[in-house]
Amino acid sequence: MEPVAIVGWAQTRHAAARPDANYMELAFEVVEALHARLGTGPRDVDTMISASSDFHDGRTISNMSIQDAIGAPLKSESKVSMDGAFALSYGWARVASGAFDTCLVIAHAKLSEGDQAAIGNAAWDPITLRPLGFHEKAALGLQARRWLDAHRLPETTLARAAAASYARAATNPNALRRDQPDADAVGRSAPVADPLTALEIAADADGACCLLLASRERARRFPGPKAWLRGVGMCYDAHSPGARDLADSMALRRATAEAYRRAGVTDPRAQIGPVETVDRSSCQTLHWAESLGLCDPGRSLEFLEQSEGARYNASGGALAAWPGFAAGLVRVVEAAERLAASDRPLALAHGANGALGQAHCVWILGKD
Amino acid sequence: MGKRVAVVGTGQTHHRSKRPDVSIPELVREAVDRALENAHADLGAVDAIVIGNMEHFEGIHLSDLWPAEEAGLWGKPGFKVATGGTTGSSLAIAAYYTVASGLYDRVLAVGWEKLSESAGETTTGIVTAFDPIYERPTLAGAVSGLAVMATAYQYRHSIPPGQAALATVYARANAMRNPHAHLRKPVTVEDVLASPMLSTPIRLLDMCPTSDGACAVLFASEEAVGRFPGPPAWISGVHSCHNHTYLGDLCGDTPVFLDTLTTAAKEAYRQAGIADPRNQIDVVEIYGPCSWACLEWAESLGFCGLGEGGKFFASGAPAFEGDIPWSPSGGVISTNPIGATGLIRVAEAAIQVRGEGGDRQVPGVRTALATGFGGSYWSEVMILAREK
Repeated sequence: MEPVAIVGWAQTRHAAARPDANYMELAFEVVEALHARLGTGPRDVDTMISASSDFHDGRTISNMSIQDAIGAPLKSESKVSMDGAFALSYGWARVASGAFDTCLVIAHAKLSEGDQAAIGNAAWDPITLRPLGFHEKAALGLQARRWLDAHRLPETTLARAAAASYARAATNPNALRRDQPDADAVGRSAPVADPLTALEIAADADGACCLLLASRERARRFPGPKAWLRGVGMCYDAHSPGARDLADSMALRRATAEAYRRAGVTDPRAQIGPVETVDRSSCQTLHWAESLGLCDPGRSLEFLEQSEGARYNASGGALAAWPGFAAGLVRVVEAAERLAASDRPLALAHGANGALGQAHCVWILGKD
Repeated sequence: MGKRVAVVGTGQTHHRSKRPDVSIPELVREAVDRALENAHADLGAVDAIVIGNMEHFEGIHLSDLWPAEEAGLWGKPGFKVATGGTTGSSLAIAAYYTVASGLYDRVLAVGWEKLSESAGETTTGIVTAFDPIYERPTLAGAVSGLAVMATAYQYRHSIPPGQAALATVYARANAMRNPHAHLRKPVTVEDVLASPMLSTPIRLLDMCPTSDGACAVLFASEEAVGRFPGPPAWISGVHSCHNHTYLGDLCGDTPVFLDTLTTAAKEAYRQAGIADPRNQIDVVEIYGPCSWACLEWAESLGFCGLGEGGKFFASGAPAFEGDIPWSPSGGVISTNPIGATGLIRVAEAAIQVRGEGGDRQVPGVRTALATGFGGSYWSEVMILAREK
């Protein structure tokens, strides 16, 4: 895989609501911060890929409204309408093809402005699932129940996993849930979708994130810390939750295998340091760690709570702030930021599309 | 530099105003099956899929997820692209870069729209593209923005409406040659000028319809092309160009309204080594959403001089028998399933290069050009050629 470097990045402090800024302003906030950090400007960006949801933005062609904010006029922009980790694959391809030397990848979401239950309902098959009132949190509940049953684990597993994530989030200034609830407090939070409580489901957030990609040649001009894109894998699963095993993600296993193959990862537990996943529930925090091969099946809570697991979702993960499609790009940035200080050569960032992870994207980042 | 990329298969539905006989996943599957049949391949020959549609029309969030299996995505990599009117051409361009980068050798682009399932009508979805405070009350929708453009164009160059009507007359005559076209009924200049006014100067027959349809196009790298028996259509130029957020910012004192098309074409021509587009390009498939746009964009593409778009159409050059046949498929004025429309342009250009056009085949095509149009007046260009 052609090496392309992440030469700079920026993200907002993800908040439950940002009434002071519309989503164009959120996008502008991170682009401005990126350029300030790198000493660059719009003229240094050859092309841009954005990730946003027309439903979350309440606008069709919603990338139209951020064209000025991201410096796109008379340049080549395109929009990946998925989690930002997938958008990164298109940004990488544009640079790796040799057509462009730099690419801005940007994602935003302002979930506080939408009715997320209604929007989530609209993501399901309108003939068989939508009329049931099925929405994303209901789906997350079904998945958590199936996963607990498959591993014969108690419900307290979910509260302990969430508490471990919140302990990490306390040191991340960009996370939304930073008040460190313990497992008891998590378990006592409002029941939402059996067996999940409110604090076992990711916190909807307003936020944005961006990064700048540069070709091998162009990357030399950027003296600051970099991370190199070494491998990617993507995979889709079936739509209906009834058509897949919610305790065993074929799509994540395949995406992981592809990314590991491209990056030459043969022993992920030894080679990979920082790992960041888009976990929409504390069940997914655990489930994804297993699918990535970081721990044995059914042993992910132990992994998370031990020192070996400290490198996993050190930011608190998406559980501590889920700014919609920006979540996957935030994971990439968090992994890149922690890679330099890691004692291992690689980092992993994960993104997913659809509440249950119908599609997954796995990135392997390498040190400069 | 990246790998060379070619189109090795195309498929599309028979586009209609309503397809109540199929669901969205079934509509998508029709196009995918036809593309694979045309490529003499099955899904095993596809490494990844780029999929696209505009969510607001059918009211389906994460619209790649429901038809994922029918699109061929189960167990495969892929991503979704959505850029408004340009969605289809953006899919082709995304598939192109994905193959050129070396990530996957065989990538299927899949786009669709089922506009008969729009809540109310298509414009209900389109109005939300515009700023709710500044532009939605006056400029929102597909027709009104184009009407501003057409008015500015008509004012600058004193174009008689009868010349614009010719773009519809040619398009509908071509649609009679294309079994996939939606509106297959010839019209005259008089019919166009007598049709109801939508927004000055655009009349009903100046404007594209709304259709149900899907399209799929298979792209392969130079290493993978040999596995497909048909003649490849090599991509020799690709560019997209976007613009300001507000339509008001586009109405400045520029010589052409759509400077994104001028910019995108210039770059694609440079890549393809085209210095004289009128003579070096044999056929074009243009995303012309209304007749007036076709006239002005002939100028942006360099087929005639500034202000000469009307004369260009009156000369007969863009007719099927003319020297630069314009959308022999019948174009967007005859067929418009929005998320597929731009991809159909690329498919039709590939069909012409591969000599598969049947009644709509222009003889001796060596080079074809396809465009996409959408968003806040942004443009995309892809050039396909018989020679590598």
